[in-house]
Amino acid sequence: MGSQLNVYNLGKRGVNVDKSPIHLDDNELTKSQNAIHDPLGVDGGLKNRPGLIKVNSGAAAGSITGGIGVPFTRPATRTLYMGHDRTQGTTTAGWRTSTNEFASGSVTVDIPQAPRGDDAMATIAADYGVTPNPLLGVGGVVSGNRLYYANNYGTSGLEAIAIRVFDGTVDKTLAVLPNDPITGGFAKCTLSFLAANGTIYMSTFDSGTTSANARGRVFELNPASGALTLIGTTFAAGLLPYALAWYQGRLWVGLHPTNVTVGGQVHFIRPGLDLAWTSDEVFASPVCSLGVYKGLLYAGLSAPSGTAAIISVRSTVAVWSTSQTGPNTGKANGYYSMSVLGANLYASFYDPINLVGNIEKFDGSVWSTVFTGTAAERTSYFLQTYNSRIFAFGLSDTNAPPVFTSANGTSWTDRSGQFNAQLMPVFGALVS
Amino acid sequence: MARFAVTQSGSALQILNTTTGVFTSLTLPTDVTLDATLMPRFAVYNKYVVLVNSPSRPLIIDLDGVVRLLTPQMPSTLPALSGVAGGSLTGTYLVKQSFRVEDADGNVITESDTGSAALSASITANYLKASNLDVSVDSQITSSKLYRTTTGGSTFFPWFTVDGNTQNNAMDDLSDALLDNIAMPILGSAPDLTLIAEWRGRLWGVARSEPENLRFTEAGRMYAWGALNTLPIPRLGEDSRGVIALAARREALVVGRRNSLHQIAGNSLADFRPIKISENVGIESQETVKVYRDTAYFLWKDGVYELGSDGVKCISDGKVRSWFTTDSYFNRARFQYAFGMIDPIRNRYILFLANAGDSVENRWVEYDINDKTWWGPHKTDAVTTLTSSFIAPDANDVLFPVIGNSTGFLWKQQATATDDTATGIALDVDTKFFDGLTPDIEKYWGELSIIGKVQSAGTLTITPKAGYLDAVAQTAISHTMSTGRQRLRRIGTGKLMQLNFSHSTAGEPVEIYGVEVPYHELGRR
Repeated sequence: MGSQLNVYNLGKRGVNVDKSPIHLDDNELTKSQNAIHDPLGVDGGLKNRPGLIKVNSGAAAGSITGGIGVPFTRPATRTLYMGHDRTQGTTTAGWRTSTNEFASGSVTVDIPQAPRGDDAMATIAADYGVTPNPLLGVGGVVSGNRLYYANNYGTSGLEAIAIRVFDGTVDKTLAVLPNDPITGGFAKCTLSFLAANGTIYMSTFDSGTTSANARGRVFELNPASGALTLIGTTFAAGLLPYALAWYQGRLWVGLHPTNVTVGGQVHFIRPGLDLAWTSDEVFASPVCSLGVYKGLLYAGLSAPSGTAAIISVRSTVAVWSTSQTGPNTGKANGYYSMSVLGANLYASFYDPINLVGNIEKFDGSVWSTVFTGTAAERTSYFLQTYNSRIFAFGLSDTNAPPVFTSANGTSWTDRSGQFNAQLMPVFGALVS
Repeated sequence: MARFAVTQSGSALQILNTTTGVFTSLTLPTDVTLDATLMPRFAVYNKYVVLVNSPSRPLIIDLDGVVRLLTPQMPSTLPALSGVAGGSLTGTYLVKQSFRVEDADGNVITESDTGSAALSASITANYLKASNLDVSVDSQITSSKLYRTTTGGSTFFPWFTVDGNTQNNAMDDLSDALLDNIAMPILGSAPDLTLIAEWRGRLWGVARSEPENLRFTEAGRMYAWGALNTLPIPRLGEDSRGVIALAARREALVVGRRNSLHQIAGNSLADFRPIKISENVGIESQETVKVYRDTAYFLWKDGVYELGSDGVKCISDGKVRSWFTTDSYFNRARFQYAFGMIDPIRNRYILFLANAGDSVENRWVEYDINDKTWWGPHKTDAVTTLTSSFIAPDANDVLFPVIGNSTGFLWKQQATATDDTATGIALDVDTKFFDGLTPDIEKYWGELSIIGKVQSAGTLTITPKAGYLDAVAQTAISHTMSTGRQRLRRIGTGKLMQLNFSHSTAGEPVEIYGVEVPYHELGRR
């Protein structure tokens, strides 16, 4: 009698090497080397397994004994943002950006919105009395890969000030500064930003015009909600919270009286613990910058005509002493910015009268001048460290600001050609 | 943005850009080395990759590729306390110091255990000064955290942070009332770990020096391996290997010993406890353990098991038990070096083993999770030694399985039926001996018809056997795959008939849908 063997579910039940040959089912195999039952369009059939191809074209450093796929994106592009004011003669303000650390091809973008310009600081500038005004504060900060900044606003003191956040794509208002509690009016401008202690601190210039009546506040900005929480109480009239630092679990503020002939102070507070600021030191001249280096707090001061500015350091037993004395004595000469790169502290010295613009380096023992600006480069430098480089952004009131960068503090590379407008001290790097 | 994987390549730690296929070597912390003979074991916790077993000290790797110690070395000096005029603190105090690594925003990445407490000091209306603070030799330390008691107390509270890693003294006069209300967190150093897993918001591991104890961190802090966070796993002293593997399921952490399985239940230090779930089943190698959709798959001595909601079950018995219990297929002495992988594309558990007589892993078998079938053993002629496997994300976050080899290459699947660029895939398939349900009846097996996909080219070799179980292979038949369906020659007489399909030409896919063979019964002799 004729019969027909029809096997259309070849291997449907896979390999079986446990049953006797007689007891195997027709759709079982005894060997399936490199053959599989493929659910991707060949269900019921039998096909060869997928081929194997190398993932890496060049060999790894040795036998690959293990690995793990990481379900996160790794930063591939680092975009630097440097704020600028209106280009001289035009009304455009915005940001200069670069993906190669301003080596070439930098472009101007109008998202995020333009940062705070120098007009906002006009009141301070008038009392300070030098041109260009070196008191431009810090206009924003990066925290959690987002840029937080105060945007350009109309007439200082006549409009609400928005604090904005930019994530590399979307730019939006995060908070609006509360009005000045003294006058009830709008604050004049923001002064400084600091990312520390897992949050953001910022200070304001609220009202007044001189060292007799200027007032400001310090806030904690919740980067998630935008909530602004007043830190401590307001400061005495005439002292603006100009410089911020986080040191030994405390928030420190360098107070500036707007007039170079009036003394500044350093206060601290333990956010969440203290209700009021504690005065730690009173100086003979204004505090323009703060820096933390090798476990000590440094304050950069400015000085009136005839006196050289100093950098003062606070010892671990709370004693302040002079660490460095500036090389010139013109009015408002001072140390306006500090930053740490590697094992060294860098400070920018500026004398607006004698036109001196230097960068000095401190290795913990000795100060040395590592950059001396030539004629067009004699300005106040805003120092920022990022990705093992220090950037010195010249804050001259021109469309061709001097900009330099260095990886070692010894050799400086000129990046001036990448900028075409007056820079504002707001810098950040966003990775994508 | 780019997706990536972290690999150990020889004694180097590398990052692979899974889009470009480019490896970048990472810099290890000072005095840390990787042992190329030990399998690296990884976990991901709070955006950090944790690496244990192969490094001389447990490591963490961040998204920028910065490698740090999981827990820094704790301070070794004894702080000295004294009063300094000008402050307002009065009382008798103790102080401890720890080292910290913080990110640019001030968030703590890792913190060491605290060193010994200072000898107590009494001060009156002073600053409390801590001198003789330790300075770490670890250049990655960014600050020290100081903890102190309230006056006369023994519980330490966070006091303040000493920035940098330079100063050996600091002072403060923060009052007792303003000290943090929450006591110093439990810290502790990460031991030299051989195993690692993440479960219930904690890291779990086994120390090389205490292989029978399960250690775990404080919740939310991967660096805090408190000394009391220890669970002995039952059957202490049963063997020298102790805990061999961990498998984190949704609601239970599975702990495998050589001959028993346990799972950890509970939610906190107060009620974490091991529960024995099976005896006479254990785990042979951590690398075979893969958890997929809340079911753990692993290799034991006699086969592959799954542990899911239905309990422990051997999934190889009744089908391929002989693979794992005889010496005909694999080198069973190397089961401890076997490693597994989940293929999320085809829902398979894939197990890499050493061929019988070989001393390297060079074969693999597949378990189809959907229809519960086994396939293989497979091999490739493009690679001699397979060393590892894991799942990597591509640029679009699509997961794909990769296999590592001894010459530093990772391999992934491709649709082309070729290994590497020009190596054929040696397909070799044996059907059963077909008997028409009458194995004792002599038959005449007629013309073989084969039904398959119409391929562009290629020849499939079909080698029949006709006779009884000891039938010899006949002259091979060639099936021209471009015909799709083809009627081939008669097979001949015999009680039974078996077909072997083979093909090994590179670039030629094989796809068989079925075979037909007419036969006539000739009678019993």
